[in-house]
Amino acid sequence: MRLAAERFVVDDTPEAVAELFYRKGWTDGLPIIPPTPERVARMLAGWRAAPGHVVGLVPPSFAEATLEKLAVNAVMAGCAPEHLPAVVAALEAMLEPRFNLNGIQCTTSSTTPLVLFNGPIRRALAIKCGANAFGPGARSNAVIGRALRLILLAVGGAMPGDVDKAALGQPGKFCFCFGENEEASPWEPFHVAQGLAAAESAVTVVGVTGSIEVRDSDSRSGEGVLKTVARSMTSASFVAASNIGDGGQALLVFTPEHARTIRASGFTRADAQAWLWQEARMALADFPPETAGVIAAWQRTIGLPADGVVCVTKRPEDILIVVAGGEGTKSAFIPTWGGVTQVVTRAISQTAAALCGRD
Amino acid sequence: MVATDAFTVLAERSAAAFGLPDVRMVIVPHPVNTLGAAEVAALAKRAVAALVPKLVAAP
Repeated sequence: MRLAAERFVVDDTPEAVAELFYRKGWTDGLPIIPPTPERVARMLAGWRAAPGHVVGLVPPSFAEATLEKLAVNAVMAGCAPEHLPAVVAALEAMLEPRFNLNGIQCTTSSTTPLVLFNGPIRRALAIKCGANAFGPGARSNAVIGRALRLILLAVGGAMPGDVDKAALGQPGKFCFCFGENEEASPWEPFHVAQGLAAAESAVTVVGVTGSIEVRDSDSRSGEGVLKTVARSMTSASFVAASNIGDGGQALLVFTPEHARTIRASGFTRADAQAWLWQEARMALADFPPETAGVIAAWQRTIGLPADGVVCVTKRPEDILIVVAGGEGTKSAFIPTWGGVTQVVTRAISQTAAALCGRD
Repeated sequence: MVATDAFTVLAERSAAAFGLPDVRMVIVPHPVNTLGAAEVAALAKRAVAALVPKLVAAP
């Protein structure tokens, strides 16, 4: 296999390899698996496209993301060859213009791509969807998420401090990757709600700024749980920054117990979105005067009533609902970067990952 | 291009990525976000004074 990457000779020790790659600015700070030509060739075995096939241009450098470069980073992150199609598909979803990866890579916000998988790929790759779905311990979640971060750093050139201007960043910038717990969900899978067939494997990317636990062990009704969720969403920071005029979105990840309680009260996913949209509102009087003025100006611009109240999103469907996790009445409100990024869901069969000859 | 000094490297890298490594640039002090209207107006006036000669200069 003809590979184009520059070759470096380094002492054959993990420490020497880690030091070289760290000094070059190609890692997240953690040690890596050395991407030897043999390992990269194994990673690309079975792909119908050549190693030089360009999946896209990764901002802010707008360097070409060739399959070879993606394979190099996948090796470094600890991926097995079967993980590469998932990495390629997720990157391609991030490169859709409405996701605004250039902005996400450079902003002072802590935003980072959250990566969600749906459909058969979750089982094929053992992507964790249940207990501790956001946490450590599942290899596929860890290596797919890490490979994507390494690509964003080394191919996209988002060097922290100089180019990635995040004021604080967040732990999710190392890795934020999980699957929907479709089997424990009382609703249709998220990718089906986004218009894809249930049998499709899908990847979704969301530009998120963190994760806030929503605990409600007391409510016995769907309305009760949703009220706790609504009050958790109405933070001055999120509502002020959600850019309602541009259609900023919010992500809710319900654990199965909360989802079942909500469903048992008769709520479809759309019903829950509509209920939350009505309930998750704030009075402008609760904001500092400058912020209230900015929000009121937005409302005038897009023709919303000047009634002194602001919704958490522009439309009910901008409240995205996913089910994941294990036992426990602890869900998550995951704020996004606001109206400057939009969720992207792609059928994996419709991405460059389909160039992989693997089953 | 006008950028604040905290974003100089990003501005230079972005200009290069878009094939404009020699783009004429004016750097103003960071931050702008927290300034009042009068301070923004004063900063803009200084930036324009620096910008005009760059715009009319021979390439």
